[in-house]
Amino acid sequence: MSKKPAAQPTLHKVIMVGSGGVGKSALTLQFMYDEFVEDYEPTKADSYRKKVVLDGEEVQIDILDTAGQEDYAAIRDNYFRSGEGFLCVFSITEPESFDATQEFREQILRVKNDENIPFLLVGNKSDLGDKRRVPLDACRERAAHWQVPYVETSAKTRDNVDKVRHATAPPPPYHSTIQNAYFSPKHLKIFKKNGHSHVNAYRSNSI
Amino acid sequence: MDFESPDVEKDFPGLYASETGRKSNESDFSDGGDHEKPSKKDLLGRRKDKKESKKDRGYAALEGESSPEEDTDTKSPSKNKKTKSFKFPTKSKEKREKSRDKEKVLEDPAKHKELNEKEKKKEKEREKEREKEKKGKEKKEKLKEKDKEKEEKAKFKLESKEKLKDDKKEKVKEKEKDKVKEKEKDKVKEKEKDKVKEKEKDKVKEKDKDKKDKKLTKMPSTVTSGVPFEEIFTLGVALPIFGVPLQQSVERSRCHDDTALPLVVRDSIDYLQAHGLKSNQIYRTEPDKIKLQQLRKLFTDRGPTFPYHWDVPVACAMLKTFISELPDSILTQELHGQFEQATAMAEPQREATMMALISKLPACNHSLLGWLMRHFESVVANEQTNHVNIQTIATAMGPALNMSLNLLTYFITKADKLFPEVRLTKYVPPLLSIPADFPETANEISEELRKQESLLNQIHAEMHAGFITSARDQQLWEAQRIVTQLKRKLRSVQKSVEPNAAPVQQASVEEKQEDEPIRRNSQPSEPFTTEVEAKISQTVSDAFRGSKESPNTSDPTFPVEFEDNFDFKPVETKEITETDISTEQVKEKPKFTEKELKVLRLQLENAEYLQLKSLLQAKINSEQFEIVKLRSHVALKNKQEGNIQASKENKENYTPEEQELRQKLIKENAMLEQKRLSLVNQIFQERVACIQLKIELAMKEIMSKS
Repeated sequence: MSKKPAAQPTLHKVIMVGSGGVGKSALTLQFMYDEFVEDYEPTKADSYRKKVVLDGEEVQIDILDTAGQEDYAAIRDNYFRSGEGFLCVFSITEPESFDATQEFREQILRVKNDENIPFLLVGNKSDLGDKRRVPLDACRERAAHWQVPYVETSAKTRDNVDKVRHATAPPPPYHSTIQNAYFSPKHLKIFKKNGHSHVNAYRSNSI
Repeated sequence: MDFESPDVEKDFPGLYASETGRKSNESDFSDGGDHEKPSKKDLLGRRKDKKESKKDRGYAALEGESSPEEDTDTKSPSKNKKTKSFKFPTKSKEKREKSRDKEKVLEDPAKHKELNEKEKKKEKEREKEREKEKKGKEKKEKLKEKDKEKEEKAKFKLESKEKLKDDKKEKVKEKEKDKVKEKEKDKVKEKEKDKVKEKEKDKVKEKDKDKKDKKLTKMPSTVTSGVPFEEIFTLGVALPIFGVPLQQSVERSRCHDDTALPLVVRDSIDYLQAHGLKSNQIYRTEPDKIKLQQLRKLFTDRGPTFPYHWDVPVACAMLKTFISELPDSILTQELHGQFEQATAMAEPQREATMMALISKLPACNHSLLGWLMRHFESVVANEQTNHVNIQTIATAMGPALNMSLNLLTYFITKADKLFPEVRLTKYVPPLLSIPADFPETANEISEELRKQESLLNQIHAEMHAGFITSARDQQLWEAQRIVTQLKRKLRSVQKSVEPNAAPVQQASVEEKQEDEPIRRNSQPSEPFTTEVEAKISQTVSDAFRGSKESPNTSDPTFPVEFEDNFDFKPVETKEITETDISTEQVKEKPKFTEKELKVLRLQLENAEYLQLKSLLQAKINSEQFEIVKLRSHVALKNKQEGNIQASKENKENYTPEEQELRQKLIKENAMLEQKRLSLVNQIFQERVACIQLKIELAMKEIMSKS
């Protein structure tokens, strides 16, 4: 199913999860457009597409930015099914959001039924070091327990945003998916060129 | 069929793990497409025979015979297990079935029955699957609940447990209640499904026919292949749009531009309005049956239609078919009689009664009636060229509409008075991608945004109904991306319009409302304070409701609110947008109309409100911080004073110290609330002062410019 005609770049789907207000959207926008949005506006769901070169091959990445609020949980589930990689974000200034990662992890594992699903634990807001309330050790411990990489980022200063790609390697090909979600954005509007034709190719392929 | 199996398994892991028998079944299911192929061939081979034996009668006979079987099957789920291990029919099975059909003389219908049975079984399998999904979801919910409980316990060990526990219990109870309700709903739905089944069966047969028709006419009907065959087949059968209540039909096949019409009606009327008004075939000529069936299938399967699918008689017949298959009258069962009675009244009274009755109709009925009558009105208006008068329409559509000639005549002649709000505009479906030259005006962007969001909702609804395929997933992500794209565009347009207020511009009504649950999430342990917070944020959002409308002059997402509050007419809204986009335009004009003054005033007000908003936000944040501090105080005191054992184990008894502390906390919170309320009051006063200042400023500015 994931095999696409040679002419069409491979498509990977990455989903951002985490409690409300931890900075999922901020991270996503930083990756996509190199911008930092100061004001908080809860997301319902947003999807972005980006083309990146990975191991010399051009691939497309769909990033879905989900709602942290439980109100939209039903909508979220529909997306989880097709997600291939997950970025679980929490804020290092908010222990509650760190606790919530446990729940998100379980939810994802339930939907995907795969312990090895590409998964990345992300502690955001590392620029607010003085307000840190989740100790680094606890984060690392949890990541080790889950056997997933852990990384601390700051959507504001773009700290580590590009470093994430060195984070270690979950099984291919997905590790590249996740990492590439973090590549510094060079290509902006891929969608117009490829989005539609890609879908058609995909459909005719599956029939 | 590689698009089925891998996904389904991944998606519902819990299900298949629990039932090992599922696997084999699954492969059967995914083979479904293969089932079809031989059947199609069969059909093709036996086309001639069927014609001789007069298909319609043959089907009718079949239907009567096969329905009781199906009913028993659906009523007792235990029987389903028999069909579970259903495999591609072998010869022996064919023989068995043939022997069962001994009374049938013709071999042909027997085979047909077999086909029908195959399809029925497939349907059952699908239903089973859906049921399992539901069960799975429920299980998940239960698990979630447990997890939540555990986490909550862990979190709030240090805090006063009594209240928490009660809350939890209540929550759990509520959730359980909800669950029970949901289950009940599901049951009801299933019953409905059973009812609809009879009709679905008809549809299955029609599909058989259609397949044959396709081969006959060799039309490029593969256009439905936007979605894989298996998939549309399922959706079309399980959620039909013909022969179901109007409301359902609208929900399943909606026009995404807020007209409560099923797509089939809208498209038919659109076509007739564009191509039929001057045609002498309109409401007169019998349609090509094959073409009609084909079109009907396309609508049932939610496939796209193309101009070559349409002609005037087919469009008329499509409309008629849809209406005549509605289970209820357009005028609804309760009101139909009253409508007919009202036609006998004397004039001034009649119109008032009619208006009153029409306003009682459900939204979708109202919309359908309005569109039909406005359409008929325009058909009759072209009587000179198309030679259609009310009598002709009554002959063609009367039986389907089930209206007396008098009533129909009244509706058509008074259509413009009865349905002044209905405009027969052509439907433009949501875009599949955003073209590079997409208009950059806020109005058009948000109009498209609404369509896309409506589409997105429909996809979500279909997925929740259990129709999950990779194609739909794909569609979901596409639509979501377009929505995101449009939102960004809209935002940037708004920013460029009002660069001063840019950073806070994005604040929307939604944000305000959604701030609340977040805060709740972060402090679930203190219902009292959250309540206060809720109050505050409510007051805040109330305070800003006015302001939010004003920046949104260029944000037609809330045009209704806007119009409501300011009594603007659409024309004026347009004007506002214009002035928004180019304030230079305003400067060029020597004199200012009242409206423009208003606009300027609103803009200034807006900026002021946005500032206030951030201020309030900051205040709320500090309040939150205070709450956290208080909480930790209480926790500390609890530890120091209260004996830990008592607080941990003897939860049922309050120690006097704890009681005291609780009282203290409550008092403190009450004080906090008062504090906040006074703050809010102050802010209100400030706000009023600010508005006045700003208005003065604006006036001065304008005067100096002019």
